[in-house]
Amino acid sequence: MRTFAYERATSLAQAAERASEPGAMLYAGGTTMLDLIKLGVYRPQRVIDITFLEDPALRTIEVAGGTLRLGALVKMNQAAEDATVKDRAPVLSESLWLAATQQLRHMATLGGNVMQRTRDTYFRHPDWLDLADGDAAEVETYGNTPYGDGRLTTVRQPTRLSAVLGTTETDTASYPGDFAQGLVAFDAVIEITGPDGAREMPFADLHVRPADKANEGDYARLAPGEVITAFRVPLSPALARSTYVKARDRASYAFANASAAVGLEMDGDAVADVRIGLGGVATVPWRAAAAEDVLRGGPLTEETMRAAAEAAFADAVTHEANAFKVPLGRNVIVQALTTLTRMEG
Amino acid sequence: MAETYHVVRDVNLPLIGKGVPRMESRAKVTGAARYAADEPLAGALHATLVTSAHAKGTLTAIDTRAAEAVPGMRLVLTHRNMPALGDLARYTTGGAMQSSFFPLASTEIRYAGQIVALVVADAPETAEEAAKLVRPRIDGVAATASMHVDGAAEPVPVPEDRLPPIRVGDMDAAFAGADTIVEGEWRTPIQHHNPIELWFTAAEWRDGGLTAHVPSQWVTGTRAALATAFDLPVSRVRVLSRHVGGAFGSKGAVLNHTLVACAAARMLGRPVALYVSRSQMFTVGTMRPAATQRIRVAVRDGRLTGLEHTQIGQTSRFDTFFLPGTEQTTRLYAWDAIRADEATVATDVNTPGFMRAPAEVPTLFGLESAIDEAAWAAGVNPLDLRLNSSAAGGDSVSGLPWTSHGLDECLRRGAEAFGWSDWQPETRAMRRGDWLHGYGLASAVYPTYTAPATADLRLGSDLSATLTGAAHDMGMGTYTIVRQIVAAELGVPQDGIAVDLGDSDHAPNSVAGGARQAASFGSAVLDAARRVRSRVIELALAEGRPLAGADPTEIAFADGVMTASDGRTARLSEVVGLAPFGVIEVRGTWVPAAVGMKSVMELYRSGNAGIAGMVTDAYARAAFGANFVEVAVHTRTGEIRVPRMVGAFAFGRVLNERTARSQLTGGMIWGVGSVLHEATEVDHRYARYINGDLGEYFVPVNADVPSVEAILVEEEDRHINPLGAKGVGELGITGVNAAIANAVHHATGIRRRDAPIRMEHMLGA
Repeated sequence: MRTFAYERATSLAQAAERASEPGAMLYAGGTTMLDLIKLGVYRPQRVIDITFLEDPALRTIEVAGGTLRLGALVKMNQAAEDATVKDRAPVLSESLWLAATQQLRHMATLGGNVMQRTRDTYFRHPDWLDLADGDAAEVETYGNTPYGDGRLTTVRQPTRLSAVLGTTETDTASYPGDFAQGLVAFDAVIEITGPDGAREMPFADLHVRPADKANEGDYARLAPGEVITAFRVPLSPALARSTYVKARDRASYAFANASAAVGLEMDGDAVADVRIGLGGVATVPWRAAAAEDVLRGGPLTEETMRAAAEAAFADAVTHEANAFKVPLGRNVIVQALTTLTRMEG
Repeated sequence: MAETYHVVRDVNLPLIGKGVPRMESRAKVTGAARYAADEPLAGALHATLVTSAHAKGTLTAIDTRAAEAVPGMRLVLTHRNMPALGDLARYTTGGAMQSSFFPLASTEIRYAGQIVALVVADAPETAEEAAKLVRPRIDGVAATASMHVDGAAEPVPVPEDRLPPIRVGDMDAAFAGADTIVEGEWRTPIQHHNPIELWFTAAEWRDGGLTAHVPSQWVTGTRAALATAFDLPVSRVRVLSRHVGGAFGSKGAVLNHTLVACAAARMLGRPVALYVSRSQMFTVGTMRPAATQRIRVAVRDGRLTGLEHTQIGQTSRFDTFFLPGTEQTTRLYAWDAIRADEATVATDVNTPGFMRAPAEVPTLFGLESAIDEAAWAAGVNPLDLRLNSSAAGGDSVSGLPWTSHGLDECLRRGAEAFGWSDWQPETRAMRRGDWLHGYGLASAVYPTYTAPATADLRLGSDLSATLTGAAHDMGMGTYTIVRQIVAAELGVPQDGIAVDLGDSDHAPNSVAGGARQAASFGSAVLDAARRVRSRVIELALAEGRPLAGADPTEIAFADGVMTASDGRTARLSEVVGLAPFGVIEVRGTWVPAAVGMKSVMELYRSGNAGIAGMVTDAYARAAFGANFVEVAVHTRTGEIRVPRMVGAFAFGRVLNERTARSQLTGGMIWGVGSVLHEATEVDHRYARYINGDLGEYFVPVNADVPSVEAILVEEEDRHINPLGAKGVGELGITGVNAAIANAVHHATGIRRRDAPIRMEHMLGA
C-alpha cells in the first residue's frame, strides 16, 4: 500500500517549513487532492494539513483601504454567501455558487480552489501513460505527479473539453475553475507565506501557461512550501457591477464549457471600465484584454459586444472536438455583457 | 394456446394498487440492509483487477514480480496460472455468460480494459497498490472501438434463421401513394449503466461447495454458470443477492470477474472479495452498444402508411449480439407496409448487452423522431398523426389482436395533462427571456415478456407467513409488491409476512430483466397464495369444521377472518392450526401459456426457461406510453434544459402505485440523460474510452429534472397472466429521447439526428 505521513500544521510558518521538504504537499479542503491521490496522479510522501490553523487572517473576509481581502482558508460556500462579497463583488459570489456542489463548497477552500488541476482525462488517469512508448520513469517533481518524463504529452490529444486559448501543440488541457476568472479579471493579488517569509504576487502570474512549463508539475509559480494565505481584490465600480456566466452540460455540478467573469462601469454612454475573465476555454485563468480594449472608451452596443467577443478569441487554436468553444465563448461574453446592461450601473 | 383470466374479479387488488412504501426502506436508509459486499465473510482476502491499456494485440509478457513482492500479497492470477474452466455458454445460446470470450484463457487482447490479471492481498489497499505494479507487455495492433468512425467494419445482416426480417404489405405502393416522405439516419452512442452499487463478487469455498455473493438480477442463472465453470452440481453452488443497488441490465448475465474471483478463492482456500472499480465497469462488462437507424416513413392523408427501418447495432468481434428493436417498434402504428431489417457491425469492444429498454431506446429515438419530421413535413399535428395511425385494432405485423392496447389512451391523457393543445406548428415561437421553449412528444412501447416462475409460501397458525423465491429486488420494489399480493389473497397483515429473495437455494426463477419479473414471479406468488387459500378452505369446510357445507367459491378472506356467503365466520389462525403441525407450505408456479412445459424443466437447471414475448400464437402483447416534454434552449449558450416532463403509461394492473411511479419517473429522468448527457466517448487512436468515470460521464442531477410527472392509466388485461400485470421497469425511458429531440426542434428549428444533443449543436439557435 502506498502510505504517506499526515501532519497537522501548528502554525503557518511551520506549515511552510514542513511543506518545503521533498515529497510534501499542503492539504486544505482536499476535495480535488484526495481524488488525485487515489487516481495515482499525486503521490505525496507527506501531507501537511493546514485546515486547523486558527489565524484569523486566513479565515476572514474584510474590506480595508479600498480592497476586498479574502483569507485563503475561507470555504467556497462562506465566500459565496458573504454579504460584502455579494454586494461589492457579485462576480466572485456567483462564480462560487455556480461551482461544484453544496457539499463540495462546504469543504473546499478558496486557496485550494485556485490550485485545482485540470480535468483533462489524460492527466487524471495515469494509465494512459501505459500507451506511450518507452518505460515509466517516475520522476517525482514538485506536485509529486508521475508526469515528469514527458510521456503524457505523447499520449494526450484535444477533447471536447480542451482549451482553445493559451495552448501548445501538445498541451490543450483546460483550467477548470470558476472563482479564478473573477480574480484574474479584477487584478487580484495573492498573499503568500513561504519558508523564506511573506511575499505577494499578481494573481495573473500564479498559473503557468503550457508554453512556459518545463514539466507537468510546474503549473503554479509557487516555490516548495509556499502557502497562499489570502486574495486581495481592488474594489471598483466595475467589480460592483459584475456577473459570472457559465455554460455547462447540465444544470448543476459541471465544469464550464465556457464561462465569463465580466464587470462593467459606464460613463454616460461610454464604457469607462470593463473586465473580462474567461474560463473553460483556456489553459489558465484568462484575461481577455484584447476584448476589453475594444470596448473601453466606446459605446456598448450589440456590434461592439460582438467585436469584443471576436477579439477575445482572435488567437484561438481549435480542434475538431472543441471548435464549438470559440462561438460558445463569444456568446458567453455577449451574454454576460448583456446581463450587465440590464443591471443598474 | 390462449388463456383468459378474470383479473378484476379474481385478484383481490385494485387495478391501481396501493402505494405501500418499500418494506426494506428503513433497513436501507439505516444501513441495515445487506448488499452483496455487506455480507460478513470471515477471513476474506481482497482482490483487484488489472486491465489492459491496449485494445488489441497479444500479451507477450506480464511482469508480476514487483506486485508479488508487496508485503501482504497472496496471489497474482494471470493466464499463466488461471485454472481451466468448464464449457460455458453465452446467455443468448442457453448459458449465462455475458461474453463468449474469457480473457484469462489466453494471451489474446481483444478490447481495451480487458482483464489481464487478478491481484489478491490481505487488504484492499495492498491489492490496489500491487495491481499498479503488475506490468503487462502488450504487442498492440490497430483497433476500432466505434462503429461511427472511418475504418469501422461494414454492417452484416443478422442471419435470417436467427431473426427473420419483417415484410408486410406493398412497400412500393405505400411510398408511391405517399404525400409526404421522410428519410434519414439516426445515431446513438455507446452508453454505460453505471449503477451506484459497483460490480462485486465475494466467493467462499467450503467442503467443496461454493457460495458467491454477487449483486445479481439472476441468481439461478449465475448458480448454473458457476456450477458449469467449476464442475459442480448446481446443488453445491449458492448465489446470494438480497439487495441490489441498481442494475439496469448490467447484473443479469455473469461477468468474467466473477469467475476469476471464485477461482482465486478456490486456489487460496480463503474467501476472496473483489470490487470492480468504477472505471473498470466501463470495460469488464456490458454496455449499450452504439446504433444507427436508417428510416424511411411515408404519410398519406395525415396517416402513417409506409415504414422502412434498418437498425445497425454495434457488437464485438467475437460475439454477434443484436437488439432487434424493429421487432417491437414496427408494431406501434397501423402501417400499410413495413420492411424492417437488423444488422451488426463488429468492433473491438467487450460484447454489448442489455441496458434499460435495450432494443427500444435506440430504435424509438429514430422512429419517433422520423415520425415527428413527417408530421411537420405533412403539416399534421404530431399527436393527430399518431392517433390517426392507431394500431389498436391489432398488430399490423402479425395481424394478431392485442391483449390490451393503451397507446391511444396514453396519448390523449398525456396530451391533456401536459397541455398539448397549446402546441403551435411554428418553431422558435415560444421565447421567454433568453430561452427558446419548445414542446415535443413521442410514443413509448415495451413488449410484455413473461417467463415460467416459482415461489414458496408458508403460512403458520400464528398467521405469520414466509415467502421465498430466487427472485430479485434491484430497487424496483419486488419485496413489497409480492408481499402485497400475499396479504391481499390471504387477508393477513403485511407486517407478518416475511419475504426472502435473492437466494439461489430458493424456488428457481429466470432473470429479472425485460420488465418480466413482476408479471412472472408475481403470478407464481399469486398461485402460491391461492394454493394456501384452497388448502385453508378445504380445512375449514370439512365435515364438523366451522364452515362445513359453505360454498367454497364464495369465501372471503379479510383481517385474519374467513367469511362464508351465509355469514358464518372462522378465524384463519384456528383453521391453519388444523393443518398438520399448524403450518401450510406450498410451491406456487406459473407458466405462460405460450411456453411449453418441456422448456420449464430447464428453469430448475439453468434458470434459462423459455419466454413469451411480444407476439405469441394468439396475441400481441405490450405496454405503451406517451411522453410529452417541454425543453428550453438558451439563445446564446445553447444550453438545453428540460423544465417539464409528463408521461402517461398503460401496463396492465399496477401492483403498487408508488413503486411503479418510481420506475417510470426514473426511466423518464434517464431519458433526459440518454439524449442530452450520456455518451461513452472513444479515443479512436487507441480504441479506448476516455470518460470512464462519473466525473466525466454525465448523468442528470436534480436540477436537470425539476418537474417529472407519470400518469398511471388504468388498464384491464385479461390475457397476460392471472394478475393482469405487464412490466413497467423498462417502459419509462423508451420514448423520452425522441420526445426531447422533437421539442428541441420545436424550440429552435434545429433537427438533430445524432444523440447526445448538446449545446454545441444549438449555437446557431
